[in-house]
Amino acid sequence: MEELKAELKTKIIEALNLEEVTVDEIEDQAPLFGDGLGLDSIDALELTVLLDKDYGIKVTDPKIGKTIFQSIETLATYISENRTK
Amino acid sequence: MNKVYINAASICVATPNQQDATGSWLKVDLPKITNKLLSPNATRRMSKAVKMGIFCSLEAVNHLDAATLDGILVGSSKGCLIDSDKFLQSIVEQQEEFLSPTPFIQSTHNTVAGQIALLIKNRGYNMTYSQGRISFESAVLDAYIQLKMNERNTLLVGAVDELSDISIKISSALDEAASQYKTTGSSQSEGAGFFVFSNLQDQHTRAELTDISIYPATTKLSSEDQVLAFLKKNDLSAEQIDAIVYGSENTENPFDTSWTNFNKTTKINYQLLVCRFDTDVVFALDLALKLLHHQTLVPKSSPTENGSRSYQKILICNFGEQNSLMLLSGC
Repeated sequence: MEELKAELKTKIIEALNLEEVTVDEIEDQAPLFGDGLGLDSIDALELTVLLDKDYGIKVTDPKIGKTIFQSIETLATYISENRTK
Repeated sequence: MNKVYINAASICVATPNQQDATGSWLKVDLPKITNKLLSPNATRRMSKAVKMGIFCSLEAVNHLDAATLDGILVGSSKGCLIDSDKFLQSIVEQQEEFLSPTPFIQSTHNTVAGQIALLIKNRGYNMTYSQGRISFESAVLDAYIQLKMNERNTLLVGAVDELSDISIKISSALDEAASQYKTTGSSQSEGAGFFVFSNLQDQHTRAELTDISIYPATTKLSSEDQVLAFLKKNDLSAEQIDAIVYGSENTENPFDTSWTNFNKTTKINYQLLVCRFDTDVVFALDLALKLLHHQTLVPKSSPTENGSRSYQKILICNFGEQNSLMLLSGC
């Protein structure tokens, strides 16, 4: 799981062009949207594409998206339980 | 009808000699300056075209109350090439699947005008023109008519064109092909310029835009006849023009031919001073504004400048498939 979290952080930094952020600065429990990393709706779309492309997970229900995109912790847990790649 | 004034200007371009000590206004270290104006979070999705547009816009509207700006008009020949490249590349590489939304959203020509509006919270008129080398003049013509007719009072008008890796490859191939057929090559640089146009004169007013015309490719008039007709329309003769700032899509100098009417006029080929891009006429406008303000050019950049004359009427000519003419008057 720790390896997946680190991988996710690296991929998020790259996919969302978070040039000023390092892997170490992203806390597992910190919110990705709003106060934490400050991501927005376009980032949510980018994360949805990333899940489909790299882990074979299609997020079609916005309610589920809201839950799994809460933090690196929730995202990693969902990926480990649902990945097809 | 109202007069139309230019109240502010800001450009960022690459110059053949970036170290030109006398032309400090030509030098722009875009990423560093832009990062001072915007947070990393705000710029992380911006391509260079957007950053150049934002930088020049913020500089141009610096002295303005944002509420007084009635709209934003942008001209761009090729639009946001970098994001277009990214989007098209991902379509090819990923067989049209897993397409990232950011380059798609930002690949459109009107991205720059939209981003500027979002940043300065302007909900007014927002228009982008893509008309090749006369994209900027098309935007200026729209603004000019609206300001003349008092439909709007103050408008931000600019142009931006950027290079991308793929566009450089395509341009190089075109240049190679062009050299075989002895035609002109393509532009190999990028840049932006933004100007505040208003029908209200203020303490920042730089010049009056007396007139602007764009001549369609189908016109039967020669370039010289177009210029003479344009001047006649404004009750001016060739002798009354103090300087002509001109550029051409072709490498030939239009004034090398038998333009006897303009023998005594100071003529400045602005494309010798700037790395060319499709909307590089923004540089010509900025140069003309500086000439009106300072009444001189730096010696190195004025190969045909006459000694000690007063500059009050300056004609900007952009020759190509379609010609454009802009007449500036000192205020």
